[in-house]
Amino acid sequence: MRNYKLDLRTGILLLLLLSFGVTLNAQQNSTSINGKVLNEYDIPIEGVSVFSGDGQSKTQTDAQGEYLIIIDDENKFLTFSFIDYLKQKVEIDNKKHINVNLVPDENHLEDMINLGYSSQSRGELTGAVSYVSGKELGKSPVANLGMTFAGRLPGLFLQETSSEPGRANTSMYTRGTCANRLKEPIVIIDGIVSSYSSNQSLEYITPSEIESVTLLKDASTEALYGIQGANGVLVITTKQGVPGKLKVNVRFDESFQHTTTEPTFINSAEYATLRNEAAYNDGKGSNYYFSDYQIEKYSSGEDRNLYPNSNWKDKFMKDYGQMQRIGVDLSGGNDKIQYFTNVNCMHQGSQFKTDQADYDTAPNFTWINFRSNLKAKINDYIGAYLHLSGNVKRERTPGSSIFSQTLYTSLFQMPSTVYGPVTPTIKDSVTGNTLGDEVITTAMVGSPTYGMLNRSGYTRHTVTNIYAQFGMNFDLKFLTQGLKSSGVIAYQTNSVNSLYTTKNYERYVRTDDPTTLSFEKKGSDNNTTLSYGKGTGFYYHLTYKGKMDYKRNFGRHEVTALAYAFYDDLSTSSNSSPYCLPYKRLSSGLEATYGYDNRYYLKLDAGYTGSGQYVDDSRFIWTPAVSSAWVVSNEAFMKDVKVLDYLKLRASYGKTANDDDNQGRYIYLDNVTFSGGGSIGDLRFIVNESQTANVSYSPEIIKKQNYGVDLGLFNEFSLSLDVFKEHMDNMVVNAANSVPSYQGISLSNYPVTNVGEYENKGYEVQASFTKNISKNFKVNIGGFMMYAKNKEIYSAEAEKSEDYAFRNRTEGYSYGQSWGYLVDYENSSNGFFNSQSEIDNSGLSYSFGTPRVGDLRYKDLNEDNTIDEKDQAPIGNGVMPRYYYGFSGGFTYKSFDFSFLFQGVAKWSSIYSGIGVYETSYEGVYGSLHRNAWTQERYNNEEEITAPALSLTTSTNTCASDYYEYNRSYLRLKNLVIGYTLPTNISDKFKTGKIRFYLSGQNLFTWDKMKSDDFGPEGNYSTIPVYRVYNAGLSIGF
Amino acid sequence: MKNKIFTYLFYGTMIFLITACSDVLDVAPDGRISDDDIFSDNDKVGAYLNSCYSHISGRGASYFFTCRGPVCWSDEAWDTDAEAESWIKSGSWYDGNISSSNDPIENWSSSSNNGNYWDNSWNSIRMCTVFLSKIDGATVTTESDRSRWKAEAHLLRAYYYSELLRWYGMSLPIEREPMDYASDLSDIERPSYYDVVKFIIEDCDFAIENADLPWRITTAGEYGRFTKALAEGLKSRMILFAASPLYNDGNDYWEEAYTINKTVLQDLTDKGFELYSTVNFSQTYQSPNAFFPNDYAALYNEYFTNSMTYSSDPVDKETLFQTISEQGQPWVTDGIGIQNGYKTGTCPSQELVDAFETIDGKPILNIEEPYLDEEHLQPNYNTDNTLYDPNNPYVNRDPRFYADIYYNGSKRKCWWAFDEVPECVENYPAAKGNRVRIIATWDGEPKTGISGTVRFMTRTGYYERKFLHPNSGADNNVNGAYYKYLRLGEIYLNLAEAAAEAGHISEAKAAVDKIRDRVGMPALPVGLSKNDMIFRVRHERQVELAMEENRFYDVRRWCLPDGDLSKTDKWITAMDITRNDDGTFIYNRRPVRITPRACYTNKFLRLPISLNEANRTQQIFGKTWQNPGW
Repeated sequence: MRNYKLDLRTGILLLLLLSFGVTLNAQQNSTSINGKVLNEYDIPIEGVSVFSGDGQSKTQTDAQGEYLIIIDDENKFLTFSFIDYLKQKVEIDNKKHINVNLVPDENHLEDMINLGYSSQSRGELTGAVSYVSGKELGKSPVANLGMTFAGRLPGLFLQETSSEPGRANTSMYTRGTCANRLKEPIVIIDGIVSSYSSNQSLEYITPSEIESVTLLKDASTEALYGIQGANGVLVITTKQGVPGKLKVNVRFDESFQHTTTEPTFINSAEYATLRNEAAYNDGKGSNYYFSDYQIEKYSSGEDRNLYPNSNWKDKFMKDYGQMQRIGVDLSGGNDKIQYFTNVNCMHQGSQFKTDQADYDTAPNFTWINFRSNLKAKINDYIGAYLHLSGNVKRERTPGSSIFSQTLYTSLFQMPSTVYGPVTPTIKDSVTGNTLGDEVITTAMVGSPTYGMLNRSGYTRHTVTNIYAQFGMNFDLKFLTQGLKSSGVIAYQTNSVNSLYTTKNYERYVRTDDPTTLSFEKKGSDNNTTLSYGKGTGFYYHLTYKGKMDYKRNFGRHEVTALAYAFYDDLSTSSNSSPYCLPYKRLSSGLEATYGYDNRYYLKLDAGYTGSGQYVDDSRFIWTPAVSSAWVVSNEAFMKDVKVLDYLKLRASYGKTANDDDNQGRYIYLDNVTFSGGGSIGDLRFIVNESQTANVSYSPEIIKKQNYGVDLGLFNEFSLSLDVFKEHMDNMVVNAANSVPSYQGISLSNYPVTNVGEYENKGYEVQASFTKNISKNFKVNIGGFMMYAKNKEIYSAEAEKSEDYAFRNRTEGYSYGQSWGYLVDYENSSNGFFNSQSEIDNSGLSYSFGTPRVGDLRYKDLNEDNTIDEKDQAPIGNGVMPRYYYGFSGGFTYKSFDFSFLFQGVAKWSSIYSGIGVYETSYEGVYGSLHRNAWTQERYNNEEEITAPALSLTTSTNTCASDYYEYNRSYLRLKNLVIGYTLPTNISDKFKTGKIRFYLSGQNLFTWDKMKSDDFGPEGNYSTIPVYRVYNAGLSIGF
Repeated sequence: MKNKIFTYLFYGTMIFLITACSDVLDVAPDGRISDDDIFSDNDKVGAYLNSCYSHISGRGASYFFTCRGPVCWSDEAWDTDAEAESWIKSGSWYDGNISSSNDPIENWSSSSNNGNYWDNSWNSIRMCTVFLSKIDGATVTTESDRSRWKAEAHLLRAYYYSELLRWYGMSLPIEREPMDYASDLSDIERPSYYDVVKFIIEDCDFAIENADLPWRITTAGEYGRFTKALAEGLKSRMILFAASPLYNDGNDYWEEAYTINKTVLQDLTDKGFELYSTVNFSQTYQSPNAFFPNDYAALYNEYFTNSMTYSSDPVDKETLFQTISEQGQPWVTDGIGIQNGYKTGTCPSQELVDAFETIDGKPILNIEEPYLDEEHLQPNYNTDNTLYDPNNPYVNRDPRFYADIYYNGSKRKCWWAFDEVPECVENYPAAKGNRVRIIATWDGEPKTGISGTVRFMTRTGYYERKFLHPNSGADNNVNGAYYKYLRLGEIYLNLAEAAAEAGHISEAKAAVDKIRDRVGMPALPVGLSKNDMIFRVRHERQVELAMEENRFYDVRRWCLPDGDLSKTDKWITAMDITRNDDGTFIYNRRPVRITPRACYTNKFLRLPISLNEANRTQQIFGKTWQNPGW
């Protein structure tokens, strides 16, 4: 292997040396042309690409729409290209001055879509992709790139799973899941596969660096990526400089963010009442915890020292957290060298308040990232580029990495009746020493919020990430016209350096006597001094890629072809064996397209890829795919159909594969080790048999079909429909489900096998409407909806016995199907046992406790008078929503611009549990639903009942049932932007280009069907809710 | 021209890239070995055998959370954790909160390899079989090692089969060759329980006939290794199971059981195995501070509280096999909970106490029908017995009673980790420290009295003494002895049972008398009928093998397949003692709990295999292997 690397490096060095020689010889005649580019209303367009031939000479129009291009080749045509406009090709014919008016491209047929290793115009597409521009993503005032994708990439299920500042995590799944596990798409950045986690790959890029993002969704686009393609491919293209004068863009943003939901505050009087109610239900009498006198004191608020009413969230959380961002872009260049440089700084604070005077513990983030994309043309044949990006993120958290998540959860653990956060301070009159000021907690709470925030020290993580690509392009037209080749080396490294300062503190608990404010020490913790520690983590990712491209037109025939080889060497930050060993892949692939007369398109793809995960024989697999398209509207017989200005039919079929099946490493090897030890002393050694090998373990192959139709109507509407089906019959499953123990190999060591069968199918619809109503007024509106439903057809599950109401738990259901009891509304009007006689007459016994009056009555599905796991039924529809949709729109009117984005999911429900849903955590945690829990009185008065009878401990209610099934469908106003651009006469006075002010918001409103407002459809009491962001910004061009 | 050069160069690089040897993907970790590696190296062959020993369970107080497992799940004792920590298994047993998915012996936190017997035993059986299939061609330095290892592997396989048979009581496939996990497992046959026992005996006989396997372990380095003595013991025990009503499928195997046991006993006594019958540590056990009423009690307690040493002439010639691990610190988690203030665990039941005869050799109760009522509250007194006084029940009893049980009024000198309080009238005042304490178990005594919930107090009025060293404590850290998994005493009783059942009454009597004689108990009366003899043998087993995990299996195998354990295991009795102001006591029998134990019904005769395994057998055979009722 070492030799191989050396060879490649030597090769490139040689190429570099040689290319200098060639440069010196390059001498050619040049001519210059200038002119102006206007739109359909004769308004100048800025940023139009102007190039000769295939792009040998290239420039861009300025703010006045003017350009100057120097042509040093033999080309006879100038091409003008701008997004949303049709490309225009003009014959030069010795003209020195060329003005053009561009025509809108209503059906976006000329948008170039980057497919990772190749690109196609939308008109030529045969597969299923969706794409979005960096500009569009930049509208969302959020810190993480992944969050900006929501509602903008049809086919990408997206869910914010944690909104913690700086550590936000967004999970994304292409068209749902194609296997019974959650796997995210791989990310390709500028033609290089980033094999580390999608989230981590996206974390280091900001929207302002991005030209476009494409999501590849079907076999024809994924097959090329072989064993990495099956979960979808996210193609990120960063911005490139274009010849022309230096352009500078500066952007300032100030954002305010706060959580979209917060659990209901239960004041101390109410808490005391509910707590008594729970004790009463458990047979402990009516004033077990609090006397009526105490409750009265809590409610009157006279003596808050003895009878506090502590709102911990208000005490420790500010109303808003702040975020500042500054970004500067520089771009420009000439014929020989073009550059794009970008630097972004971000500071993000959290909502938590701290009062530690000696050092700062408040959670915060500082983030700097920069990028420099440099492209050079060495001579007619050779070009080179260097993409360099870096990132430094500094994060501070209290204690030993106590993240906001933990802090947030802790806010709801202590009841509002607790005095705090610290014991009263008393100054000893004799010694002058201060006593008290110790952290207060309760019997059940280990670490109270205050202690974590202020008495636990702090941690500082410094994360540095470098991502560099160096590549060379060779134009091999001297061999044959249209042939090119390229080679690139890319290196990504990430290191985390953590400084831990930790400290312990004394905890005090208030004594039982409610009439005095006295405390006693809990446990043996002491106030220690800060101690220091350090940790590091590191990963690297090394890749090499070589590629050949061919593209040529022969009259009406268009032919393209590509071949590539890619070597991937990734070492993750894991320290444990065998995950610390590098992950290696060798990929190659071929692609060929043929187009005839803009009517018929055929595309063939094949990946031939291998991974170190597999045994030698089955290491490499082919993933072929075929796709085609027919542009019906370009047929002669369609010329007269005026309504339908575009009609295209697409179909694709092929194989994609996956080598990341969550099954650990080296499945194909027995894991037998030999070590000292064992039961028998004089035998001295022992053979440890763990994993048994499965030598036929192979990559999962998912066959994907996609059928699509694209329609254009009245030059204003466009509509696309895609139907897809994904099927796998060699899914890796745990065979232990059907292999008996008595064969003797411990089932935990039993190998996984490729015997599962899985299916995922659905459809996507997209529609858009764009109209330039007048030269000052442009409107657009669009939307999409996707539906996906998956099913585990076979997962080697052992069927349960006949007395089970449902004999399978996975097969026949969607991935992640939840199971629980069904509440029996047939035999009980409200689902509860409303009297002891109802319990007695039911004849039911519960295998997990004895139901009380006011507890849930479950359905005895198998009719054996016992409620046990045999009565469990499927609840909800698995981990994925069935529907995911978004719609957006906007207009520009004179200097104003406005845009909105809505995003939602439908048909999604899950069973909730845990803190705040069940009331029994800690000293009782009550949410809004517990206020109207079952009581005899409430039942008799026919009042609304929203929870089973409260209890102090786990009861027959605290288990999975459809009573706790929450409908997680929602619709959210995801993004709103209002902008105003200063008239040019004003901005000219400042000697600047365009100046734009804007206000934007993220997650502004959510409409959901959750049972309470305590948390949103993504969250619960233990995750930070999705943030709502208000942002004011300014961008200035120079 | 130059263009051409670097074009070729470029192509060269490309071709290199594409064709780059695919072994660049080989990053497979070193340090792993294959079957061939194992069996071609002497140390590794030994290591593989060592691995076959990995699932030998510790016994005694080695079940999860220092529980005595089957002792507490039978009518011998009540576990204080059933109330204090009801999720630990005893609580589940008593509440009946167990099922095949919440399996009483499978789904269980492992402790000393207890729990998951099904998986662990099959795993080990496979390893033994693999070992046997390879050992003849393996690289082993000395032939005597090869021969001995082979015998051990046979014996290990027999041991694991015996575990499966004892716990699950079902017929099982016989694995002579390793099963191929990838093959169709549905054509596997399950011969009868008896056939599996015969297979065990076949493996044991292979071991016994082997010239290189020793009769006993003589060096500490070899401790835990299987011997011919173990093989004899397994044979003796398992043929008794096969002949028992629950497992014999209506066949009479008693004569065979008798013959085998007779041979076993003969072989063992020929090789110098004998009952433990001399006090060897008289300083401890014959000291007044040990509070044994006589030398027989001292002797008997000494045997169970000391481990067998490994030498060619050990003082303990009775133990055939002792488990590899010690039984922890009994004075903390077993015995008398308050001694260290934590927990008591095993509390011997009134039923067990009633089983100890009076010193004249007469049972206290009718041994066939000890109680007149279902709840065991009305003893069916043996009218022949003149020594027993229900108002002074702890005098004149079998010496083994004093060796096995702490009762109200007995004394113990050790480290007591607390100060006496005035309510402890017999002991107040005294500070914590090493001193004599009267074990008062009357209702209301705050330290050792009877209690329904407190973890360190007795549930039954009794504490376990059999495995508790006379004066171990925080200042005298004597761990619990290695557990005597098989001992000659049991072999005598196995022979006695088989002989009685086969009608060899006098031989049965001789074997029982041998056991009684060791502790100074009179011989059985002459001229007992077959039926009487069978019950006397069973009674003797209850006393001699008390709390040694035999009763749990015995009461099961004595049942018919359609029977249940309602006579023995449904109601467990406590002795609730009231202390009068004048220091006299009133003895009052009552159930430990007002509700019966739930673990007595028919299905509890055989324990369930896990639900998942049952489902898999159903899938493969179309018919589940699950035991009836689960």
